[in-house]
Amino acid sequence: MAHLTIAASEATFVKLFNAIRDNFQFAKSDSVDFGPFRAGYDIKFHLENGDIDLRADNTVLVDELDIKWDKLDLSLGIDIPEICVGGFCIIPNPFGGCLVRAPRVCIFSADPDITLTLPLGGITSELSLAASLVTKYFIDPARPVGMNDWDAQDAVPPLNNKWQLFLDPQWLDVDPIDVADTVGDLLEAAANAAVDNLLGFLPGWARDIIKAIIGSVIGLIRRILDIPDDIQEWVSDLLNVSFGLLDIIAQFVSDYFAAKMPLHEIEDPYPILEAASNPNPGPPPMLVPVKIPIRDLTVFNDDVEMVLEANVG
Amino acid sequence: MNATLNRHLFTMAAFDSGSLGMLTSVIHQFQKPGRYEGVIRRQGASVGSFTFEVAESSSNMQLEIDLARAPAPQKMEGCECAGTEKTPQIVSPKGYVLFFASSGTGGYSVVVGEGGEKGAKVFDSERLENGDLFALSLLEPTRYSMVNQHGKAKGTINVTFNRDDGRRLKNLETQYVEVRRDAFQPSQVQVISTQGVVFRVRELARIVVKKTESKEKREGEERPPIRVIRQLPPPEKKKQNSNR
Repeated sequence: MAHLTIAASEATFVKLFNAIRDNFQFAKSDSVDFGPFRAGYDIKFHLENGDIDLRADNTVLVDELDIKWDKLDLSLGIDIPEICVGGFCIIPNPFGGCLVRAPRVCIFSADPDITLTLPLGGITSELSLAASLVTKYFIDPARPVGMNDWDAQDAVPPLNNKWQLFLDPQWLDVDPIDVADTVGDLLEAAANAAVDNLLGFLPGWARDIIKAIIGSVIGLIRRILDIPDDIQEWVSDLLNVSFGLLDIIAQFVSDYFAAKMPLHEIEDPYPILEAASNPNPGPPPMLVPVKIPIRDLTVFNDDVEMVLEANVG
Repeated sequence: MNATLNRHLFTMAAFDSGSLGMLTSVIHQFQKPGRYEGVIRRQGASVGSFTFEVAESSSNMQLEIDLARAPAPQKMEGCECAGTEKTPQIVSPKGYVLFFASSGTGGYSVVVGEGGEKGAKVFDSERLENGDLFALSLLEPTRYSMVNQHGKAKGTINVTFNRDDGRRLKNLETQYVEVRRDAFQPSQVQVISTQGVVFRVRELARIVVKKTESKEKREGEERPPIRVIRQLPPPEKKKQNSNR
């Protein structure tokens, strides 16, 4: 029979979970070359809400945990084709076609590249997970070998050993990122703005001519990117599948709960009496805290509460 | 890939068959088979040279020579450069040699002679003759003047561009102008931006097309101060003061 048993209600467990949920932040950026174009993402999200349920099978279910996208920028780098003038027929061939053509002179020295950035943030995704509660014993890597517990306590920062309680996900399901149906409008606006920026130094009449040569900017972009009719679906596939964002999110969230952010920590040895001034005359002026070692800490739960059991001494 | 804009394309105001730049080219047919040598000049100085061959055996109908990229004359000796004796360019006697400048601010002219020390001069781009062609493409929608500097021919080219024209850019037909010493036919040309204009030379010519002042500049131009001349009335005869 364990020397020590601590029980926490589901409500208390929820408070512990909410504290680590609110501490969660994720940010990442990366880019991939797809050949005809380059695509990149710059993302940042935090977690909110979620229904916590302690289950009778010794697991914890976290359902409908919101992924709040603070930033979800998709950038597309495209080389637009040559924009040239000339090439007209100088001497027609009397038998058809052209015998001599004028040289083509291109507006740019090479294929100009433009970058479109689509700000897709502000949306919400969801994830769910089921996890087991696990305990781990933590020794601070900065703690020198052989350091005693009092010196570890007095170090700045303290280098106490700890028992840590984690949620170890057994499965984790991230819903696909569902971009807004206005993404098509965003893409068109970004494409036009990018071309305007490219031609910004030119007088108005020159911009008009070049745009006429390019034709429909959004049509050109769609041809280069090979976007089918449904732009929304194409962008969603790019984010969820091509970039593998769902896998990246799932892995990070899993690592966060399982290894980076403990639900709770218990100092070992555990102070049962704090340091105090010596009530008796004579040295020492201060009495050290009274601590008791914690051994064999285990955790389990049912559908009502979480229970910690340990031996002491 | 980062690309730099060819800004000069949009600032050109003059197009001269004797001083070639981007958007202009001169075309000549060398009908006699043989080897030819050309010297490129710019602002009176030799800046490059090239050679080519006219051969009956060639079926090449268009040989392009980029005056902005030909090697400098001092580099010709012992040089393995393209377009030199080592790698001659060849064209059919029924074909045409097109001289143009693919970059830079222009100012190029070319003289071509038969190969060898005593080769006769056969072509000078500053003096176009019957059968030569001068081709150009005008971008800015505005009015241009055209003159033949070896005669009295004058005319105008009006370039326009609107949204409807934008849809037709790929299907524009080349506009041709016959050139004689003292006349262009037609003398007034109407084209759309980027549309090709080809001058067919019939008599000695050096064709210069220049942008005239745009309407916008004329409207925004400051008026010179007006000189006011006001005729003063004759001085009034002074009445004698009876109280003096």
